Amino acid sequence: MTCDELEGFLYVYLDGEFGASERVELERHLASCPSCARKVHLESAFRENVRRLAKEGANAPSARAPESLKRRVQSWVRQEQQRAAFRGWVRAGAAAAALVAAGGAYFYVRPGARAGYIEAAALRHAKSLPFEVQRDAPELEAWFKGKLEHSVRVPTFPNTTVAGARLSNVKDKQAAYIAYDASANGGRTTRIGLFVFQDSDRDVPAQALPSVELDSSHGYNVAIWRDREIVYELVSDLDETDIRQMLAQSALPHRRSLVNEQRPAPTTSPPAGQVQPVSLQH
Amino acid sequence: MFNLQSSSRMKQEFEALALAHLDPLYSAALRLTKNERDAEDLVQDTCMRAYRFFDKFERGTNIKAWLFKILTNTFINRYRRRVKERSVVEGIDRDAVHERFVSRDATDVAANPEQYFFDRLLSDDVLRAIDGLPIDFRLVVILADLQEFSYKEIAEILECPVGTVMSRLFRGRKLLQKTLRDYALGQGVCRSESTGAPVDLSDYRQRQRTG
Repeated sequence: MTCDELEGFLYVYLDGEFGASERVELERHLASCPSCARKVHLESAFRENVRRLAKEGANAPSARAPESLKRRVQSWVRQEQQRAAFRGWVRAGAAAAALVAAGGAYFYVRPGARAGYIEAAALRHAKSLPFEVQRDAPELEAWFKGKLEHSVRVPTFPNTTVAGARLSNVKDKQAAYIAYDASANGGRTTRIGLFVFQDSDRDVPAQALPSVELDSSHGYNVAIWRDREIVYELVSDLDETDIRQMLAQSALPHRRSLVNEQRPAPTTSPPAGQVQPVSLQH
Repeated sequence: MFNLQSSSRMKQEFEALALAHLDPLYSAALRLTKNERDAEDLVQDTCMRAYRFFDKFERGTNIKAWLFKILTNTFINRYRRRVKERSVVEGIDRDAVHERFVSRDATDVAANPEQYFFDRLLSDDVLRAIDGLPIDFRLVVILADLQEFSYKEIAEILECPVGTVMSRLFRGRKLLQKTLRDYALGQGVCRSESTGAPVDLSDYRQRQRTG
């Protein structure tokens, strides 16, 4: 081992990350090189002192987690546990209210944050702006490439065809907008819009697949779900049963297996006409 | 139907495992965000995410490393943009440190300059010097020297190769040293040491095997 090599490995050695034979080699060099031995001694003293002083500071009472923080986290966990117990059983509206109520105790959930994104998507969809592109799903994905900061995977739904797509936005989020034509009950054709946008900061409270939540705005039903940083909003005038059926049968592009996720099935049917958070596994 | 019992077990398990690490999480968050309010928010946010993803945590593996991974990810994604980086110079109150070197006893200094230097440093100086490091170096110094994670754990937390951890730690510590030493140097307490450069460990191991 040369003096230069020793200099470069000094911390690896001092941090105890060297292998036994490498340590022997380094120590052999130290035994015959007073200059390196002095360097190791100084660096070791520096490392020890920095650690000691830093830890002294970090362990000072003022640097400990405040009791109030501990209590806030505990109370949030308690609320989250209660919320989980009812998840899937309360009306979407009631769930939103519960979120808002719980939100009083912590800063994270901004009341009405999701409602804003639901409404924005419904209004955008209602405008029926002209398409920028009319292609099939795989080519659409290629078309979106480079136009948005995230990649867009275009889901396919049963009994629907892709009508077209355009760049759009949901509030402050740049979004891909994909329109589908679906044949609904009774043979009529209905237009479905899907917004796909990135939400790295988790501004939009949406559950991860396989949970999908339903809400309504301006006469449209809006299904919302998230796949990690990507949020999907599906806007249509289909009713809850149809949406649920369509999503359950669709090839939704997401990165986790639906099969492995244990989600218990409901023991009673939800009252008719109520909008429910749905799980794709039911 | 949702199983209330398993939910309550999970809550207890989470509280026992995660809340035990609230102090180290908060202390690291303070170094990252540089203020108490953001540090509290960051830790709270980290705990919420940890709870939501608790089913993804592999039981029996290192919960502290797992929590720190969430903390650093959350910080990088959410807070980093908001936190105004202070420069190294601002990181330390020059006058306050200077003061402690002015009244030095010359014989003490000659006998053991390094010791003299460190005896006059306060933990606050070190913490503020750490706060002044650029974020990539600060992260590894916090994880290695304040939290004493191994290189392998740090590599997992930051999702980068071990070699990157080594070189960032090398440069981070040298930078820290320079900041702290500059005050002493100005007073002639310490000699300037060569700063050197990190050496690639896998290259070295390869050379040892072949040569």
